[in-house]
Amino acid sequence: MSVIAPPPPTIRPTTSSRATRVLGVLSIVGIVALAVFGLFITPPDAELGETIRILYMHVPTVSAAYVAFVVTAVASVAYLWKRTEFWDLLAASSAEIGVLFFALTIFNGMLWGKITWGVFWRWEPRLTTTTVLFLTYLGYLAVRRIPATVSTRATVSAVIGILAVVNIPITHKAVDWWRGLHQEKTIFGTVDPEMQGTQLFTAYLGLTVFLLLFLWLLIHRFRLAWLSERAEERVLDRAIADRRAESVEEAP
Amino acid sequence: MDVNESLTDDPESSDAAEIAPSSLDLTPRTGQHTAASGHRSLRAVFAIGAVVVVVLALVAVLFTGLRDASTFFYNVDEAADRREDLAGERFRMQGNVVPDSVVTTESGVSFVISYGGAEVPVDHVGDPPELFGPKIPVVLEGTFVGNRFASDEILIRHDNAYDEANPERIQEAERDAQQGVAG
Repeated sequence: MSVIAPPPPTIRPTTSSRATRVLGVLSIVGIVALAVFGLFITPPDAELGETIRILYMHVPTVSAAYVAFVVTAVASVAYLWKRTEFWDLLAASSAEIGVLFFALTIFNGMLWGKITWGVFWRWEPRLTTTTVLFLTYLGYLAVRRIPATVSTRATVSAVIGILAVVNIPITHKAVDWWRGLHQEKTIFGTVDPEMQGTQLFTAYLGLTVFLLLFLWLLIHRFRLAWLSERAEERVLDRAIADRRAESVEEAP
Repeated sequence: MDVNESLTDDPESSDAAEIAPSSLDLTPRTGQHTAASGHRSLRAVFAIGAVVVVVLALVAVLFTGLRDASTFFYNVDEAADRREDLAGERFRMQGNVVPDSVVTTESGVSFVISYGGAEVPVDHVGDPPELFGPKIPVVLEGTFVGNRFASDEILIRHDNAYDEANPERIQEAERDAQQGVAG
């Protein structure tokens, strides 16, 4: 059978490279620095006291999640335009990491809510739109797992990936449009003008660190998805080759 | 189309010359692949099930959550204006705790809440949260009982103003106060 089977293409069975190693080291050093600044160097808040420290993680995790979902939307548009595997796998990889960061945001937000508002959860506008956003991307990932041809899966998920991103500005503006418990936006051009010194520095340090971490994870996840596609192709190639070999043997 | 024809008309195919077309068995293979296809259909069931659960959850959140969220609370002045409509109804009311109005009671705490020029006295059952105090904006959950508001949940609203706690400022204030007394 090996006579007909195509020679296996040379694929490096690893997701790491010099770039990812640099990003990885930067991310880990950054997280340590963020922990030192967030937990020890910054002073407690006048009103919130020590609980302000959750902000240095809450805002960066949600920002990284938003960036991830925007990458998914852009890659989805690019897929519908170019129809290449690259954009489809990039969209999927980014959505997966976005969901991870978004789940972290909801978790650390609930802890923060419990100690400031007094409750873990209320169906107020920001939290409701957040839940809708989270469910939409879980749906995106679930749809991708329905067995289908590669191009059907890519097209359907690209459409969802584009539609879902509409909810980000709604979630972001929910605190301005409706009455709720959640405080107003903290970052993206609306950084509290009162915030200053090490508090402001730490908030931006957190943003930078989590964006680096996102990029690091994204590259690894994308390469893993790509290798996984190659592995499936190889299984298919082998099955076809086996079938052909049988036919040759049967033919006298 | 004839099977023989379809096979011979592709001379570029690597197996075109090697296979005697007449002996080619084209019956689909089923026996060997049952395990794999079973795994595949199980995967489909799980994936479609997950999508259904997500869609149902989305509908539930949009119906119950958004309805609740659109009028998450009334401000004190609005609630006071609509006192008769709201009688017996459970709702949320937002305002600031009036300084010096907080009194600890047997079952919890009593205070006055104000917003937009209106004031409503509140009887709260249960321990207030840690950040509760004078001037703090709060959202109360409960009902009107006569002219008073019976609350069983206090939620603290924090705005997006972050200030470094400044012990020096407190020291300065105390020093000024002492100087004031001395002078």
